Amino acid sequence: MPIELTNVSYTYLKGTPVARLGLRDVDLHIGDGEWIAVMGPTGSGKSTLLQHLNGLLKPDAGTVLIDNFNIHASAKILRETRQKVGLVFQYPEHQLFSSTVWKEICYGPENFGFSGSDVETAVKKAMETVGLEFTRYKDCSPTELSGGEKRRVALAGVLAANPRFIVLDEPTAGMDYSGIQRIVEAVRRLNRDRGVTVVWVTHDITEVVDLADRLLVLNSGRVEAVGATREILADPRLAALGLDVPIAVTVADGLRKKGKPLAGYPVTIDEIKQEIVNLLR
Amino acid sequence: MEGIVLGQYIPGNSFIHRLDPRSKLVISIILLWMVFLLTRPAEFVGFSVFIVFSYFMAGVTGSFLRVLKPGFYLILFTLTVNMVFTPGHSIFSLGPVAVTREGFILGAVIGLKLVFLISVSSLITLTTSPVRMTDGLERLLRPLRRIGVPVSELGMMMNIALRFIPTFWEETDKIKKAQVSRGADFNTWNLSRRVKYATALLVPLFVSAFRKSDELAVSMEARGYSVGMERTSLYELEMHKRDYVTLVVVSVLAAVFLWYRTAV
Ligand SMILES: Nc1ncnc2c1ncn2[C@@H]1O[C@H](COP(=O)(O)OP(=O)(O)O)[C@@H](O)[C@H]1O
Ligand SMILES: [Mg+2]
Repeated sequence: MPIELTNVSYTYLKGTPVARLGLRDVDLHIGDGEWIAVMGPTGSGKSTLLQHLNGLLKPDAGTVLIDNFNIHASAKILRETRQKVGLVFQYPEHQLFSSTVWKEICYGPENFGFSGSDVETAVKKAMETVGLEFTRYKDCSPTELSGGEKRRVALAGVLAANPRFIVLDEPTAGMDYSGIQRIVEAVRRLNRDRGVTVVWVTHDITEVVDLADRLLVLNSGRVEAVGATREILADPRLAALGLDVPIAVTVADGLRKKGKPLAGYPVTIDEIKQEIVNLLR
Repeated sequence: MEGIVLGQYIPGNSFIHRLDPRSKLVISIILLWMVFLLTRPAEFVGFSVFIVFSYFMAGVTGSFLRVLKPGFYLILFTLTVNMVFTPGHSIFSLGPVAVTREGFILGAVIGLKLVFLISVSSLITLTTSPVRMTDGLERLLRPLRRIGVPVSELGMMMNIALRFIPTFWEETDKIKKAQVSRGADFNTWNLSRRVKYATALLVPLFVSAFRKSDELAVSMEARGYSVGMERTSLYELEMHKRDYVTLVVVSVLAAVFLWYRTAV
């Protein structure tokens, strides 16, 4: 298995009076080219889980294997892992530091020891993937860009190192619709065209409901549910967890309780609209 | 690198915790001054008993060794230097250098005084929250406003600084993680690369600090804060009977000590 977490547990500030549970006994296997969406209430351990995938955090118990190597086995494997697994944080402000977009995106590939011409190709490709036109953006200062553009620069900065796995922590939180679509589209192309494996943490599952093969639901550091995205969404337990269940799912539940026959399990607004139109016919 | 313990404050409800920070500041100044006057063995014993008693009373005995830790090497250094460099009767020798009796005593005396200084000043930081401490300082320094020192603004600045230490610590952690994910290695021995990695850490941190201070300034202004205006606080410091009693007791002790020093 490309990514294999076995019995992973992690506690922040372990051994102090303010220790906090991060993860508890998490088992997760992710296949090549798969797209996994992750949901869970705030503080359920989503970010903690992601940070285990590229070795930023080391589990207190259990193992993280990537391509069958324990990523903490040696400093060299850990370094390779950081390149193989690209981690995109929620706030681009936490990483943008260069004077130009070009230098910013070069940072990753240069650190991972790409040669000069490889850096250039990688940066151009990454900018194209996220939809930043090369000539227009390369000399811009990242600080002058809009919020959505900053996120795309940050994403390109991670993609430029050619990761085989890309792990995104709430990449669309607080963005407008078109901004979200651009990010989703960039990652969709990576996944479909280049077989990049995706782990996508989100509060709004509707944005990736047809892209994510599986949905993982975390609660208090444990895996609450994992399985095919639509099946998990139909599970009434989700609402009880206080998750942001899509509005369409709630409406469909209500309709079903009233004895209305629905054809499927609508998740997006368009789908529930179609169901209601059918009912009214 | 996650989490720091801000200051040394250990929340509690002991008599010493409940004293007004102003009393604690004044008392510790008296005690620190007494430390410098100690000479006779009996005085050292008496002062040690007093310190141990106060730590017990505050319920912070568990922290005693921890607060001394940063000063440990200084104390050890003082002891060694004095032992070796003070002329007098040699009692034994460490290799080529002779340790003198006078040196040993002098080193022990200074070392012990350092221990006292650290433990007295730690006792108030252990039992007073940073916010109450700045409030107390502000109130004590209030007379300086007459000569134009912006005391309450300084207090506000100190409070803001304290408030934001944990925030910036978290920011630093996040930025570091983001750059490490992009292949930065903050522990490399290569100096020029290390400088580059430091830039990748400091630039986002400063950007964030400026943005946060701007936001904070706007929100303070929106709530009517203005420089030079008289402010009231939600938790007014109040001197209680226990404060006056403690102040009197400590002052009397100090006075007796002084009287005895001049008399004998
Ligand atoms: N750096 C940290 N130090 C201490 N506790 C933390 C830290 N990061 C997260 N936690 C705690 O770990 C738990 C899981 O957090 P996190 O993984 O960030 O959740 P999520 O991303 O799902 O909101 C929370 O209780 C949180 O308070
Ligand atoms: Mg999170």
